Amino acid sequence: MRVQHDPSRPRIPRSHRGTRHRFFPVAGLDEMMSMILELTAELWVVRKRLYLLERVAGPAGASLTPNVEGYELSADEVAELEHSRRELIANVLRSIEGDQTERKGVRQEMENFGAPDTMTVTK
Amino acid sequence: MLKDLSHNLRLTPSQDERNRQEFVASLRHHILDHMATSMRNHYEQRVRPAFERANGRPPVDGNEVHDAMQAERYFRFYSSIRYNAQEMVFRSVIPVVDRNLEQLNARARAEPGNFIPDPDLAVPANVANIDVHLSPGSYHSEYDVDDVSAGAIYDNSINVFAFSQMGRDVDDVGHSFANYVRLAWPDFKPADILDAGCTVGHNTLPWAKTFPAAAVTGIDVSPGVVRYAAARACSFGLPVRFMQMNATQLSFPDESFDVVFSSMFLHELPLRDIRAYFREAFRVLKPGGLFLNMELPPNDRMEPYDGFYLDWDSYYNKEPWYKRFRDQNFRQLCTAAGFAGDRFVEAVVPRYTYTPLAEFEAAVRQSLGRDAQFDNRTGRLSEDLRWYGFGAWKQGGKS
Repeated sequence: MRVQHDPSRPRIPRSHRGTRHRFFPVAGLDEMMSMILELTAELWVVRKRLYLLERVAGPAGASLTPNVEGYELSADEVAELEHSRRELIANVLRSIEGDQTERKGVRQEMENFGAPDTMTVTK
Repeated sequence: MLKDLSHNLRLTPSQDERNRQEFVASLRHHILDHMATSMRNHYEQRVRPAFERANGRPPVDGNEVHDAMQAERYFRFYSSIRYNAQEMVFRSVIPVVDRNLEQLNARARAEPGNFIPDPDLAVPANVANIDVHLSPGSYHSEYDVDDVSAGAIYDNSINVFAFSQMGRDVDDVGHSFANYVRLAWPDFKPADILDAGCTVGHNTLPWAKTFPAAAVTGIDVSPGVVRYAAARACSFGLPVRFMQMNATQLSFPDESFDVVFSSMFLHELPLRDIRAYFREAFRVLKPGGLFLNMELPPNDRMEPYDGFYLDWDSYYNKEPWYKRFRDQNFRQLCTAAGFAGDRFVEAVVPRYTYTPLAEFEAAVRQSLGRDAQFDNRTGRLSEDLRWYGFGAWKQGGKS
């Protein structure tokens, strides 16, 4: 099937059909999770760009943008960025790791919201 | 670091687009490595003991583990983050495909490879009516004439999804099983090989590389992915034929192939279609030919927790037939299609392109003539991944 293209809109949909699955009994928390993850992705994009700008600025002076687009990372720089990226992810998600005392308190609070009916699935 | 695809249909994302894809790949790595380990620890330390106190026994299957885990805070976070990451895979890829659509289609038209369309073929409901894997537009939508965007979305998405754990060109499954066949049965020289449900041909081309004298054919119901597969194969200089065809209704004559292969295909099919495909595979195999499917391992031969872990996709990733397939007895599926029970074969193998050859050869030798042994590495995307495959030899011939 061919879909007629409206040039003012993206041709290919960005979202899947059907309702999004909900994992939390607390209203809004699923959406909040999405926001946090998207925010983290954007933060990474900015951090990486800043990193590249800093590397490019040294030898190239003022005209940075074309040099950033074509900059080739060395193996050490790739490793440094990989480490930095993994740290960023771990840091943003640290609130759900915690120690046992903290977990217990939060879990009790979660359970007090009642039965997890939002997790019911049709088998 | 996320590697660009290595063929002529690869896209050129901007720095920001590339970095968004790189982030999603790392996020998935974190979920399936660190978070999956933490979630198992939660289960072992708290959920299972609580279940045993309440029931006087441990959970007997993945359903009971799933029920016990649903209220767990960590499971909610794991699932929510994994679900979002899956959506973000496509959101990181589709804008790049959309922006380059005309150029991409022009490149595919210029070097189309060997593509045989079937404009009258209906896309089956299990692809058309559901956005499989949460992929917007599923795997069949077309947005232009002779469009390959469905293939480009799949190819680029799985590259992000796999976080470099499924081969340089997301082709390790094909390499692993083609080389398994080459090493396990050195006297078996297939001349005609079929890959059913091949999508963009990731795991089809390794058969042509491993058995260069063979004629290799890939089929899939989606015109966009098969058209892309043919152009992709052309870019690699491999003479593989791709056809738009439904594996449950093959148009090939009886006894056409020495090998009928599939990878990660069966778990996307309703059970009736699996049975129909198996019957067709039996029909088109030559006597002495090999039927082989790389798949997720069967539930009844795994620890309940490992079964639960793999079945996540069935509930939350728009793959509704995934668990029903994994609940089957795979040997019985083969015998119901006509294969003899004593011709059933199965193996768990390490990844060929990540493993020293001597180690891979040893794994092949150890697998022969015995039942596959499963553990929590089997089918779990990680740096220690093991693939599972099963099938049967068709009676007759020399095998």
